[in-house]
Amino acid sequence: MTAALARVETWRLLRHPFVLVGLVLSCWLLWREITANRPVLHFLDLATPTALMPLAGAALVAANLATLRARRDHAEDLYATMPGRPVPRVAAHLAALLPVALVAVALVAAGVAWAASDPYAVGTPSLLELAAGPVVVLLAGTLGVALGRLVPVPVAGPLALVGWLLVSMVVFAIGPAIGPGVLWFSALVPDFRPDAPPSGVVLARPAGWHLVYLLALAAGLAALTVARVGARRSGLGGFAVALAVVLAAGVAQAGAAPGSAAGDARVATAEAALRQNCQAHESVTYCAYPGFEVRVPLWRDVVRRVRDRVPAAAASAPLRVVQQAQHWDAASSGATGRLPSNGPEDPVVVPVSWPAGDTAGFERLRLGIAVAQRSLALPALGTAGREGCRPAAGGGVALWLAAVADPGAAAALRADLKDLRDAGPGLLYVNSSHSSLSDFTWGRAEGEQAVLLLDRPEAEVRGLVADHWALLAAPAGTLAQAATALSLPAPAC
Amino acid sequence: MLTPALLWPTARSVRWWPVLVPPLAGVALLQLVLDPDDPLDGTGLVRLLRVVTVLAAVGLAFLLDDPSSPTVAPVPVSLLRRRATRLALACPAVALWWLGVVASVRLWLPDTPWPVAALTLEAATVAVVGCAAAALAGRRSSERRGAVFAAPAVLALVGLTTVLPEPVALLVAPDDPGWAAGHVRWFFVLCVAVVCFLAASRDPARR
Repeated sequence: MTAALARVETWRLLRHPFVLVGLVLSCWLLWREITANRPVLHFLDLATPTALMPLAGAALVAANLATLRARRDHAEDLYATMPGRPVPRVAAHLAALLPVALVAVALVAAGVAWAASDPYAVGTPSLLELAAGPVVVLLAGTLGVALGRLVPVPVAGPLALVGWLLVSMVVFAIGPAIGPGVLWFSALVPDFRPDAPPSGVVLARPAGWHLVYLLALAAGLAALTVARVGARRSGLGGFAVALAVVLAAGVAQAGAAPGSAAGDARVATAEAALRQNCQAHESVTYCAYPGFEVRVPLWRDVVRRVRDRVPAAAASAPLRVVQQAQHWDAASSGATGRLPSNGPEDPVVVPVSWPAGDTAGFERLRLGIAVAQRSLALPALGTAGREGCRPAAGGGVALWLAAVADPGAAAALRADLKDLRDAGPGLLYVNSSHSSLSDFTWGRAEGEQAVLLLDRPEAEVRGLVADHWALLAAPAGTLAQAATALSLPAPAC
Repeated sequence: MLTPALLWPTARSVRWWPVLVPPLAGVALLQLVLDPDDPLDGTGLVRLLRVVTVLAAVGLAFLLDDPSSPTVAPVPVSLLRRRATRLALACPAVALWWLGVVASVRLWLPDTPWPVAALTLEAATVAVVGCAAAALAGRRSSERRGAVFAAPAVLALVGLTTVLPEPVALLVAPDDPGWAAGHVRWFFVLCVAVVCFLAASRDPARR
């Protein structure tokens, strides 16, 4: 009887409007997550449970409504006259959740497969992290069924969903202050660091214990529900076992979480084993973390566009482009960072994440400016760094070099300049970065000059830049002198 | 429109606790989170008040659930008038509740500025959307089941608004330049919800 009921309930649950809406929302969130950056699969997997949260919420509410159906229709008295016990009906509601979880599995698998098909995808996803999303869907559905039997009122489902979200928010707000492992008692443990880590190993997340914790929670709720509807002895026995597993897995995951002594030791060991692979192209050396070598062409393209437009002596100067994870500090889980220094002799740093789509232009602009900054020997700070409004001479040309051959970077430059214009005097400079990297910071004076140069024919500007390179790269030169040399209006700042 | 003689019998027929528990849970949440020693900034406060108003809207959706609807359907009091009577019963309580929320925020966080009028518009919109969803759901299924669909639908709609792109965003932060434009859209949604509620509350005899 249970199998037949489960088939009916499965079909009804899968067609439920909330489940369909949740599925669409989850697809959209997953798509947004995958397309935001060139995929780093060992970081993308951490975002899948959050993307599945709409489906989990929908499963909670829909399973709750399905469990309450008999009560709403006043059919319980009729069912009470039948020889069958309510346990098979509850079991059918619980079994109907498995296909919803399978849909979640299919969604995650399709998303990861699509991400992995990107030619610049790197890393290997963790199956344990990927499994957490579908298990959260299962847990949410089980909570819906349990509430339907333990608190049989229609308002309980929506309130439980809001309560779940609020509890998660509270755990994330106050959890880190209590202890490093507290976050892991939440069902979702996303990672909010701004840049991907260079490898999945250095995350040292207790994903296996967390999966056991989630599964035991779902099993405990299911056992409690079964105990409530009649199978008291086996239900309570199952609940006791599940509770023991929840406690054991909860303690184990908290003890192994990053921030705890054991977790930090694992992170330190993994970090010590990290090595970069370097490769030389012309006079530029590119260093990438293992697996990220496929992204060297992305950086080389930007570097080449800039160095093709500077005089030969500057173009052949040695340059190092080094990949470095930003704001990566295992001890505080990303609270502080090792920002690179950015003097003319220092290597150009690229982040581990590389954006895709429209935002890629900002990252290419930032990298291009950093390369041009080295060629022009510019100080790290533009407008904001010079007293008495005397920006360095090559600032505008550095921006032009980064944007002239790259429509995406040019659009990013114009967008940044628009922000500067809109903000008025309150915003003095930007650093053209969406990756927390701090390089040459430029203000309106440099930006306006670069846009004027972009509006002129490239060949004409290249000639002027070559003729006046000595002035542009001179440490004592000013933007006003550069404007005169390049036949531009004097900068106002 | 309203018949005073109907107020008391209607009040007796409403199942109040599903209506009252969510907004009271919202007030409890407010009391838990608001801390004068560690005050929220404007954005955090607006986010918290949005959660509280969504909770209230979930409760309000249950106001239109009428187990007696099959019995009273043939009486010469239209569906709209019966629903208006229920809303008239709730309106003073909802207004008092919102005043209480505003007063408690002012009391706990006297130095945090927040846009009362704009959030009142948002709260009213979410509440009317909840009622409209309950009314629309009542047309499809038996009338008394409207909230079963409407309460989660409010959550689903709020979930959808969190992912709206910038040109049509509704959940705008107070320091965002699109705050004023966002509230024009809130007003538009309110108007649509009112029209939907009225359309869904036409008496079945006239359809």
